[in-house]
Amino acid sequence: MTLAGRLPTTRWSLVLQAAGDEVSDSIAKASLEELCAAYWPALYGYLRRRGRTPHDAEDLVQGFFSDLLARDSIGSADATRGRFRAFLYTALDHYVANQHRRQTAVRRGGRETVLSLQGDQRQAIERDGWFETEVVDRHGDPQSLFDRQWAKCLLRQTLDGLRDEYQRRGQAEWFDRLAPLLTGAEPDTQQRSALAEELGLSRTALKVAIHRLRVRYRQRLLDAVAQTVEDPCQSGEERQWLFRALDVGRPS
Amino acid sequence: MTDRPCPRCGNPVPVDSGASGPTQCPRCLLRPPWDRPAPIAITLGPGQSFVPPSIEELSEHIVGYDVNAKIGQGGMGAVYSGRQKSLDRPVAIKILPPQIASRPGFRERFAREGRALAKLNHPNIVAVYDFGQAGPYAMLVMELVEGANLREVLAQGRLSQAEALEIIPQLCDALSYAHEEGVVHRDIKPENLLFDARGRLKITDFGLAKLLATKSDSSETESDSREADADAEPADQDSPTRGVVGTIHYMAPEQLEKPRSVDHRADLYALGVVFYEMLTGELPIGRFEPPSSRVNLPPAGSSGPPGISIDIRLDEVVLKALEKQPEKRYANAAEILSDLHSIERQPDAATDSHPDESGDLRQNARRYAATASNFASTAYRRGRESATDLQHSLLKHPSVDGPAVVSAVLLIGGCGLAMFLSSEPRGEFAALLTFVVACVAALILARLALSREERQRTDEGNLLIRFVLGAEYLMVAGVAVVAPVIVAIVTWIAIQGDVREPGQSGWFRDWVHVVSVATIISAAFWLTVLVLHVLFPAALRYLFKPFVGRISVRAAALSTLLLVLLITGAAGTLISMPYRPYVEGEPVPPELIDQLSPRDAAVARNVERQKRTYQDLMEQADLERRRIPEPSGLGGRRSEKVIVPEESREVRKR
Repeated sequence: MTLAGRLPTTRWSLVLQAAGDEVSDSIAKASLEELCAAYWPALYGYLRRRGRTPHDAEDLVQGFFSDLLARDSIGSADATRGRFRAFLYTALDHYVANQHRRQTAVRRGGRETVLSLQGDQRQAIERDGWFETEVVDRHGDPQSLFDRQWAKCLLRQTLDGLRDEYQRRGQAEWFDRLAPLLTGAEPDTQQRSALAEELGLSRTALKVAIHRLRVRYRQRLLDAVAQTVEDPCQSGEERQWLFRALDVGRPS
Repeated sequence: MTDRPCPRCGNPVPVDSGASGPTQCPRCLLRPPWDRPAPIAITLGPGQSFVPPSIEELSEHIVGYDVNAKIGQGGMGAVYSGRQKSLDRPVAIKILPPQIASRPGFRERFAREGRALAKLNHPNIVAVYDFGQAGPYAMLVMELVEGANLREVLAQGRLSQAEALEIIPQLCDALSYAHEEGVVHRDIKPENLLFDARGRLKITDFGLAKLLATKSDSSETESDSREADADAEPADQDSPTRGVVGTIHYMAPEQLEKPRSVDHRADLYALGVVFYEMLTGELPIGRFEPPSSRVNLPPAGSSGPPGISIDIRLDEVVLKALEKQPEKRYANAAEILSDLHSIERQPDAATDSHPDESGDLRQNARRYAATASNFASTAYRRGRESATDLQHSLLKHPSVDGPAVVSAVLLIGGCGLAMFLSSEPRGEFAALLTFVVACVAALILARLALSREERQRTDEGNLLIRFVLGAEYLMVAGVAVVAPVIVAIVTWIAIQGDVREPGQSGWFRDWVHVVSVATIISAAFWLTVLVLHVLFPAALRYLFKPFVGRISVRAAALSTLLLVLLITGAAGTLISMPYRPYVEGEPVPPELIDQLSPRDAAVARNVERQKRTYQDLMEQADLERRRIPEPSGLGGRRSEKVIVPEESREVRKR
């Protein structure tokens, strides 16, 4: 079952549907906050790869989100508004271009820190090879670089969420042992029996566990993609877009 | 930080130096390799066009249960997950299409069957908690199994023998229990075999196929008394195949042909299909190979040893369950179980046995010993594997392949020995004897192997048998093909004389005659064989087994027509180019000598030549006579007188 069939509204659609009244505005704001919190590693990773220092990048993301959340509503007739990712890229681009002016404005008026990034979270990203923050890429296409970081952020978020789910059930070890099977080749008989023994499962139970993990992962992944598009029907397209963006990194 | 290419898609994957282990390829995480629609087997039945209600719609009709989500839909309705409010336990709610519930008499049958199903109490059968009516839908409330079904498990690749043997005994046990209770499943397939989180098998949809089966052909005799009242129902046209409910590849042949007379052995057939699919990942369709030969060979292109090997004795179990005739199958599931147990009790020597590594040696020595024994056991295993491979490929059926190999060796060896003996001085007789004895012995052995092969009904024929028999038959058949031609030519030469060589006058007529006569005689011979084969089809089929089959009327008619045409054509040619009759002594004009038969032509030519010689001599004699006045001619004349009359006398005699 896809999420598209179950959830007619996505977070991003809730953001876009803010109608000016108190209820819908507060829902919109809460949804936007959730989305920003989920995707700030993508923005941070992007800025780092564009050559910003860790401190600089953190400041920029913080400033950008504060600015975004302080807005009354999201840019009205924006061509990119169907997808949160595309919207965020354009807005970030704009923000960084006007960084200086905004910084002075902030200094003058002071700003309310709506979204606080925790320092250790930032360091975790720096340590994690996932976003390749050390490798500066000033010459590549910024848009596809952004999309790649976005996709990685989406996947990391999905995996982390899934791990939490397993941990809550006391099955964190299962997750750590089985997660490589999300992409790796199917294990052969010997690997399967070793794995089953290690986890204290019967051979059939191991296969069931692998299946359940994959089903849950897929559900979470589709769910996460769907949250960033206005209409759940677009999530297939969005996933395909990200898939292609990741392919750009293939060495020619 | 370095990149390594993803083994699947080739995209660079950052290698994580952190503690969280190697990073996975993001591209493969976004579109995982396993994330593709898997084929599912759909039950043929009246529920094909059924649009299941939404959760809200269904909730309105159901009292006492919360409906949470739709978890499946098939040919027999739709399944929802839910919760029983009173006992606060998770349940699966199955609803049947309304077109079934609205059938007259359905409620009574449903009540009766529902009670029978609810009585089934077995750890490997999904328990039925409740049944009843939910608005227009007939509803069954069952135990909720959260895990995976066999189809989903098989999506991870075929199972090893050990994995399959974890499941099949549970299936046998459950079927055996249900059959004893008088309930036949009728729709065993991977989609109906569920596993809970502990890997325990849970069979679902027991007996539903029977409940959903529509009325079948009324002319069919009804043996099941419980079905008698059902026959009173008007024929239901909803189902595309009337009376048939089941899943096409898992249905026993009799289930399609006579859906009403199906008994528990149909379930055993489906079990065979499922077992085969588990081991090979394929369905046993058409001329399928036994699982061990399907799996034990390494996949094409790979040189490594086979990853999974299957005990050859399991083949027999699977093939017996898959027998087309129910009588030839296992009589019950318990028999399968006991066969599997006896296979498990006597493990095949080929399956690996790691040496026991425990021993109270010191750490290091133990590690070395373990390495050495691992190495030895790997080598041993490889050796055994390749030996079994060889055994499997050569001697799949020892009782057939044994005599086949011996017969081939005999035939080839006998021929070789005969050739060797014939080169020895005065070895011809010994050579002939050896050859004949070898041929006869090889023939007998090959025929023995063939008859055993037929009894075993193996799917692929043994090539060696066919090679030996083919060679032997050709020795006989070759003579049969050539003999009529040779006989025809020899007889013709005996009657008409030696055939004139091409270029000699009249040669063309000779060749036309020889070819026509040979054609007529050979064609007549084959016509006789054909007629005999049509009249006594068993004779030739037995003689030249397995190469000669029954001839169809059409082929026989066509061949007869062809042979008759050949005979007529040859006879026509013969008649249109006859030899000229010749009576010895009668003069034949030289231009017509070509039209005589070779023998007559030779005689006629001889006569002509002698005539000419005689005439020449007479002329010479005349000349001599005119020269008489010479003085000393007497002696010369006398001598001539002696010679001439002799020759002319001879001519005259003729």
